[in-house]
Amino acid sequence: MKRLFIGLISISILTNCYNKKESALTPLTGVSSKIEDERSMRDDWSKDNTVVVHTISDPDNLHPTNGNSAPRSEIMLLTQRSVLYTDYENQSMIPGLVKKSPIALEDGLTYIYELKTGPKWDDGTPFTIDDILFTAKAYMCPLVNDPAVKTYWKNLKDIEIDGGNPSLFKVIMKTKNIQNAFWFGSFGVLQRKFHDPNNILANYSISQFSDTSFKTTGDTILMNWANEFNSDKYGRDPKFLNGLGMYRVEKWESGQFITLIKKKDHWTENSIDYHEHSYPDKIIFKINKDDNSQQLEFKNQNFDVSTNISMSSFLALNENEMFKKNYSSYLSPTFNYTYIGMNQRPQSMNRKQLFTDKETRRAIALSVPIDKITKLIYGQYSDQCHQMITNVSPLKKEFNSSLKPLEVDLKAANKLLAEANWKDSDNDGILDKVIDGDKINFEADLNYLNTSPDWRDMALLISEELKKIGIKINPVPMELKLFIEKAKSHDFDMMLGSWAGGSFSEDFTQLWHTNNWTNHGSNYCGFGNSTSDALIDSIRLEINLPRRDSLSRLFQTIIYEDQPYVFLYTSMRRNIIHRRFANRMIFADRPGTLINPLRLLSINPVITLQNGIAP
Amino acid sequence: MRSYLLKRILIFIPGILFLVLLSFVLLKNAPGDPVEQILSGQHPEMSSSNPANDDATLRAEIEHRLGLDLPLFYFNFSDDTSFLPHLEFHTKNQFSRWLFGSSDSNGIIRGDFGFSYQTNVPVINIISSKIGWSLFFTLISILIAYLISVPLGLNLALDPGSKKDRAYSLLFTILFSLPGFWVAMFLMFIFCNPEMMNLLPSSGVMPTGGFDESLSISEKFIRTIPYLIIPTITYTYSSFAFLTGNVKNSIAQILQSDYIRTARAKGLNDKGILYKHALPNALLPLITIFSHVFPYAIGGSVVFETIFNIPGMGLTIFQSIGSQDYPVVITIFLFTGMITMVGFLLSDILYAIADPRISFQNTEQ
Repeated sequence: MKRLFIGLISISILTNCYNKKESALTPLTGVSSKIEDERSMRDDWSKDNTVVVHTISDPDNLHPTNGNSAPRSEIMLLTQRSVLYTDYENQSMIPGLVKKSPIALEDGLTYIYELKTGPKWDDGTPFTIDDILFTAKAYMCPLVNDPAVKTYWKNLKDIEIDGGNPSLFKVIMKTKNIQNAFWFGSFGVLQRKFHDPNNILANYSISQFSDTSFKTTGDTILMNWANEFNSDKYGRDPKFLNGLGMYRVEKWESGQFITLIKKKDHWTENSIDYHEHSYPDKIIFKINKDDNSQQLEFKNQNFDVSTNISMSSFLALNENEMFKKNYSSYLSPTFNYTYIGMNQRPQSMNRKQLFTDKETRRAIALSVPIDKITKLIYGQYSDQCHQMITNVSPLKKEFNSSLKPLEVDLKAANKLLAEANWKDSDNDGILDKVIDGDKINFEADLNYLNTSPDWRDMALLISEELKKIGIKINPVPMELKLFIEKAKSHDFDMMLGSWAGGSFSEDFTQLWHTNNWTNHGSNYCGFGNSTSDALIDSIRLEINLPRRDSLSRLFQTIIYEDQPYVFLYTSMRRNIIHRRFANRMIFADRPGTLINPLRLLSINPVITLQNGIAP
Repeated sequence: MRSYLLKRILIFIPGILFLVLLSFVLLKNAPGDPVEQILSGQHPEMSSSNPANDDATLRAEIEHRLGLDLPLFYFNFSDDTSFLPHLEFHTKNQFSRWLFGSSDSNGIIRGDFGFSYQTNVPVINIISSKIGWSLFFTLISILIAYLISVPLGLNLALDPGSKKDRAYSLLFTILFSLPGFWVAMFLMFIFCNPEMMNLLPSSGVMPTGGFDESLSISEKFIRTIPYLIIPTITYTYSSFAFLTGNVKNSIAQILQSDYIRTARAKGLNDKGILYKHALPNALLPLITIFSHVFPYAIGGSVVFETIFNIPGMGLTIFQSIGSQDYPVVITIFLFTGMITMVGFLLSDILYAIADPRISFQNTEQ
């Protein structure tokens, strides 16, 4: 009986192992990928031409200027249009509401745009230069409540209209910057007639608003306009949400969903540009924060698209045959990356001068096994993850490909630490050094966010690995606010953090300029000197792209040598799209996938021939 | 009773103000910076391309607009290094601005609770849009718990120590011990799972996309019911187990009393003893429990609201504290304090009604 029991157990274990199918996800490695369409609809798939998009929170608001949240940005892509569109495939900008890309003049400050004819507002009136001028003034008005984006408009000096051609206008900037060529294109345009029917802002000029000495005190007319414009209804009430986009907000049930419906007879109807396609009749952003509930929603086919699911839920779902029959799921690279920051210039009595020299920092980098970390986070899919080598994503065109990833080399790490005068003089297994007459143990706090178990697991792994070279790490979980506060006040030893990035040309000022250490900005670790600052400034002001990229590569080399961070890996986005849709595209840039081009398989595409050729 | 009520109401006001001041001070001294939250938005990762975070001028403008550059309170001890610290007084301060208003607000004293730092929505609108579901689930769960637990408790108290009593006691212990989030996930796994019994929806309080406009209110209500079943069970089971046990023990103890023996000796039947003598005396603990429900009615439950995606106050409070949305948090504390005090006052009045031995004159003395 006992043998039979053992036999049965063994058979069931073996059978389980044999039947366990490897969930092989197709790796996506580039900045954009097109997913092959299914051949036909299955009978149990819904034929409703509605896309339900999973999101984890409400947008802060849908105000055209006064919001700053990820869900908001996704919805604005559908309800607004901008002068330029992001070319997700080529990491550039392409014409949106303009006929062609802006022409940059020799001075590097002036950009000429020409508006398309054709775009119309929902009330039938054409989109004109009047709306462009109003848009700029609305963003720049000191009384408008848009702090998160106002900084971007500070470099705009003026917009001039061409007297002879009402569609032509010049954007004049104050200083040269590589981002001048495309920043303007990122913002949705506003309808002047809708938001300023009495044309109040016509009494003010862009150059007035761009002048920091411009005072609004006592200007009751402007105050009244701004109070009305800032009011909550323009951010939440569907009746007051206006835009040039293909969709409009029909309903917003806070905490539950936001429904967008396709506008009829829209000016984008015959567009061949995928940014302007509008195949779904309805798009519903459904809010769901709970992992278990999300998994059930997918099993019930209540969601069609998600890029917001956790890695553990993603992996769990990919073990489920029912899920795999109905959905395509992919891990795709992003421009975001994770790092370990090392404080080169601590400013607290509590902190020791542990990481002031680059030999020590390089030794840490040679001891952190990035492959183990990615395996911890991404499991069997860790080989799809890109290692970050320096401060620019390897996906970007300006990446310096001559820089090689560091391999774990504990012998070399020990040698570097010895060169930096770290030795275990008291044989307690922890390195020590005499600094300013005091013997200091190499013991460091590693701050990490308490928002997810992944951070904790990474911190523990790093702690275990650095023990091997005689460094004692104390993982310290922190809530986000405290984490940032410690970082900005330079009161930390090491920090495990991540940065979100985009496909645009890098401006290194925010993270690496010494000003942003002095003023407690985002240069948390204290990197830099006058040489690196000068290079950063040159890169920012260089508008010739090849020259600029060459300077950027030089800067990347400096970062690589100096090692202010241990650069870990580029984050991977979890993408799930229902198989009942065609035109599924996945991008490294946010939001990861576009909803508007998703065409139900049972609906034939409308083909518009261009010069006798189908797109 | 009138003078007692008046006295209680007069105590209310300084009590509320003290509570609000305490929450104001605690919140302002918590780590983090609401301006940082406003500038960085709701992105989960810190953005390397958001220079607004490091713009000192912009930060100063926002702080000035929100009054965050003012001193916290009317006075503070100066932080110079002299031997005797001295008080510095400030007529213009954040607490005063919040209480009495400024050029762009009326202050809470005139019913203006300000705007959310994160969404710019009036705080009172946020609360009124979220409080409904929290109140609904809290009150319905209490109502169901009382409706079932009182008769069941009475029934069990009549036969203490029996097999039935022991079985129920075990059940109540198990129910009371089970963590709420586990029960929620278990019920969802069974009843919302196409691989098990796919009978109920797994999240939300209404169908995706809302209701058809042509449906009547009753039809909308009927279609909402499936969304409410599992959350209601989850909100209720623990209170039901606790209350039933409480009623049973309370009644069982009372039934041992001398006056009950006397009533039996006089010939009163079991039903009469139970409802005329035992139950009224067992009401007092139930009233006490009821009064403690009120703060939960406002506060909701962040765990259940997250699991079931219920747009209630629990999640709102949690998110507001996380994003240091001071106006929302302080207003909610204010309301919670007021409701709690109302709850205690109500329970005092109900005590006096339930037990004639309790007199307001006695408490004054």
